[in-house]
Amino acid sequence: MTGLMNPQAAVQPLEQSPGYWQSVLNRLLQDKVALGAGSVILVLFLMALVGPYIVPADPYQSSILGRLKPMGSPGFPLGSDELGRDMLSRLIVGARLSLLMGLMPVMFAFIIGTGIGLLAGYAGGWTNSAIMRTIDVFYAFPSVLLAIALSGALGAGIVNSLISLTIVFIPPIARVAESVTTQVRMRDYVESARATGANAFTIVRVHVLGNVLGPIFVYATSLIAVSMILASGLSFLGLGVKPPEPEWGLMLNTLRTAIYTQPWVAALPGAMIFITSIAFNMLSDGLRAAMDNKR
Amino acid sequence: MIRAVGNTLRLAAVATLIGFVLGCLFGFVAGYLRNSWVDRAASVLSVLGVSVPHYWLGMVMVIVFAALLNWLPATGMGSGDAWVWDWAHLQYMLLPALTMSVIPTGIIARTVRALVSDLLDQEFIIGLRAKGLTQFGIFKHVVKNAAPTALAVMGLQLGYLLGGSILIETVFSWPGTGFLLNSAIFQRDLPLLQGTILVLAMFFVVLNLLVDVVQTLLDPRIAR
Repeated sequence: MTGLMNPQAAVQPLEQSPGYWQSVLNRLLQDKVALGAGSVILVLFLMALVGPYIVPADPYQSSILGRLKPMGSPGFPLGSDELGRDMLSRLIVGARLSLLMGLMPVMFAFIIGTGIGLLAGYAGGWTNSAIMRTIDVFYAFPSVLLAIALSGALGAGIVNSLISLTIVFIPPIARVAESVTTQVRMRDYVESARATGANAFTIVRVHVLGNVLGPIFVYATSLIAVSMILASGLSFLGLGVKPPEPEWGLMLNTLRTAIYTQPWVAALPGAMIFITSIAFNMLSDGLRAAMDNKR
Repeated sequence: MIRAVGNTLRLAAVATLIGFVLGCLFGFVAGYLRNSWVDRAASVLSVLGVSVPHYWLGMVMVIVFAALLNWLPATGMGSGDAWVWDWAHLQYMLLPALTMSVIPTGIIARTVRALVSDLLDQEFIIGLRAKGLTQFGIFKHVVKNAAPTALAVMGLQLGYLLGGSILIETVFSWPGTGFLLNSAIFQRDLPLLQGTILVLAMFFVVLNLLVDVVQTLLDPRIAR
């Protein structure tokens, strides 16, 4: 009787089921490997954010007497580089540029590539063929070669290497976006939305976007490690960041001549790149497993 | 230019071969012994293989084997212009080829592992086992079924290495196309840059085509 008097109470669900993203987060938090990788990345981001304020020495301050000190020497806990600058400070401050160079291209490519893929996938037919065949042209080049060719043609510099890396990552992301959009477009709910008179923009925004962003995002996160390695590789070749800015790839390049005098100090910046790229790869793997709700 | 392409091709081919052999070995062992420590070690190894910045790995190799142990030469391609397949020249190739092979090893190991563990679950393998075929006989069937995909991945990796060798060639001063590209970039020699990239892209495309053709020859099911 009370149920009839108060219909709202009758339809109240007994228990709020956790949302999709909540359950993804829960699963991710149970994955020890992903959690470890996530905390490494958190530390790296902290280094990038507050690094310049906490470093023990000025990363730009060179000294002729303090060149190529070994690890553990007084004043230089991780040794010093070829101009006598403190390695520890440079590695910490270098996190900012290195992460920026690794993350930004993937972010830009994620936005642009998703846009292109959505357009091609949703429009279908002729538009799809035209866009996707243009994208296919980029597949004629191996990614490393494309990145180096583009920044070689554009010239050295941070902005130019960001542009060339973004161009490298747009085609694969667009391809993934196109394939998931094509799948979603055929679903019944999109069909019924169209039948009720929703226009293309509304359908894409409400019905398609929410269902395609997940897979594209997971794919994009798997590119971050590649992007880090490529970005540092460009700097390593002298095409990215210019001296004296601290960036791990560039530091690796300038210390290359010192491998016979201070081998382990020279290898440090590369170890940082390695750790970062492992962490991003593992977090991406964990994210993919957590978002796979077929289990 | 032709000599540079030849040098790069030689290095990339040796590296791919090492990667293929090691990758298949890890992949098969991991696929057969699923969820054992070997499997886990192989999967960790393949994550490391794709995560490592290979130019840094090259430097570490030089540090360990050339600077500290003094076993192998760090840079160059040996004396004389012509390449000979003897130890005097081969020792120069060992470090760059090993460094370069890390990425294909990881990727091929991962592919082969997935293939083998998939194949072992299929009904025809259970059928063969029920018929009383020996382990080796079953292994031959698995190899036959896994080969087309594994070879295709190998071909693609060779293409990637051809284009991506610039960083490794810079580290080891290997006189190949990467070295050429590097000097073209720094002397702003745009025609040389364009030409080298065109040749490399052509190689890449031709290789992809070749992979498709060989794959259809090995496995007629794909043609349909």
